[in-house]
Amino acid sequence: MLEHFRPDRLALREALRGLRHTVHTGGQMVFDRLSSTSTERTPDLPGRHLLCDVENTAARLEAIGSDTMRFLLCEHTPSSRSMQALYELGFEDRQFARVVYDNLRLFLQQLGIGHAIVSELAARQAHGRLPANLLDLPEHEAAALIAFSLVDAGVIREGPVGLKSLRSKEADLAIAALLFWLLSNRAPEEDDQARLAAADMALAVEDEIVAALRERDKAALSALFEELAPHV
Amino acid sequence: MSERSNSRRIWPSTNEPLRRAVRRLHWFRTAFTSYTQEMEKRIGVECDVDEKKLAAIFIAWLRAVNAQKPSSAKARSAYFDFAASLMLRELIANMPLKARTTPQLVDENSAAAFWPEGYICTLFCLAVHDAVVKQEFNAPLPQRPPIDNIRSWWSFRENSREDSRFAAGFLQRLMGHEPNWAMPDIFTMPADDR
Repeated sequence: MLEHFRPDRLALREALRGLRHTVHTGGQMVFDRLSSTSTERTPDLPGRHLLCDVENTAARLEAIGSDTMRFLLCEHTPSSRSMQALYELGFEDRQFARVVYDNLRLFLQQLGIGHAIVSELAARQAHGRLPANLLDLPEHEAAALIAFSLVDAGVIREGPVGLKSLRSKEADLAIAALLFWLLSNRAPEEDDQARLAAADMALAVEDEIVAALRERDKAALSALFEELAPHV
Repeated sequence: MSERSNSRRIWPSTNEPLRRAVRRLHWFRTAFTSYTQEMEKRIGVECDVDEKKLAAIFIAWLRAVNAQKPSSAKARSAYFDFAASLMLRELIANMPLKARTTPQLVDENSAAAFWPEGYICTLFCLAVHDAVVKQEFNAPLPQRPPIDNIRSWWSFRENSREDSRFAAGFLQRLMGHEPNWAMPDIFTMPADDR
């Protein structure tokens, strides 16, 4: 039987990421609850031992979880690509999904929704929904279509993969910031500074981004990318 | 004028000409923050910088500059001056600095002590302008009027509180031009260049 068992590696990675998220948030919740109880009244000695044990266990779980996941998932330094580089590599679905996963997470943290998670699987599905002539379009128009597709595929999730997608102002801004960053013309050493700038740029024009995504206004969104991406 | 010309200015490194680099948010923000730090040391003040405001200021400035960009190459030099004055308008309208202390290293009747935030923003615009112009035109900068007249700064602060366009006229005056006070933020080609 096992020789026929060939799981989709990306689906497996998604499941493991969900597990890591659960271990991390679950351990944190238990620890927070016990910690807050202990401030209300001084715990007795057995209580303090219990807190200490939970703290150590949570830390071990997190360490083991993170190390194992990192090993299994072959996680690495976030991939840095520009839209141009993705095009030159044939705009292949796995690379696209990886770039979205690696970098959208960072934008979510910058925009204050670090608890949300990014589905690499959904990013690959978003790629599959893009029109066949995408590479023939000007980059800023293609970027608008990619933004809509990422939103539609629910690439940003509220909890472990499989739970509902997160649709919020911040999630919309994170997707727009990712595209500002991908479209920007930057040297490799400017990646991090440009990432911060792209997030703040999205915040500065948040009303325009949210309206364009809500109304699915391709012309408005692509005009915004064309106008501002060269200035990240 | 010594504040501008004698200081050692280290702008963020870039492979692009400064006129392009300044039109990138990440460069603009790093430059503003570094410049503010330098001025903090020089006048003995501590300031908070609101980076979110800086992004909004940058975009407002970029849009204002693009909206009036003249087609004639003859207007290029004059438009660089004008663009700097629009930058000051946006900085004053949405002030990104907040001084936490009183300047300790300057005379209490100086412009820097009177309004440290406005002073730093103004000198930043002049310094960026000078660096860009020097690189683009490779010519000495013209002599300018003194910038420490406290009455001018009082007028600048009071008037720009009511109408931020006044800041554009103030900077044009510091650069030696006679602004159109009715519409200081509307570009008009200098008579010599027409």
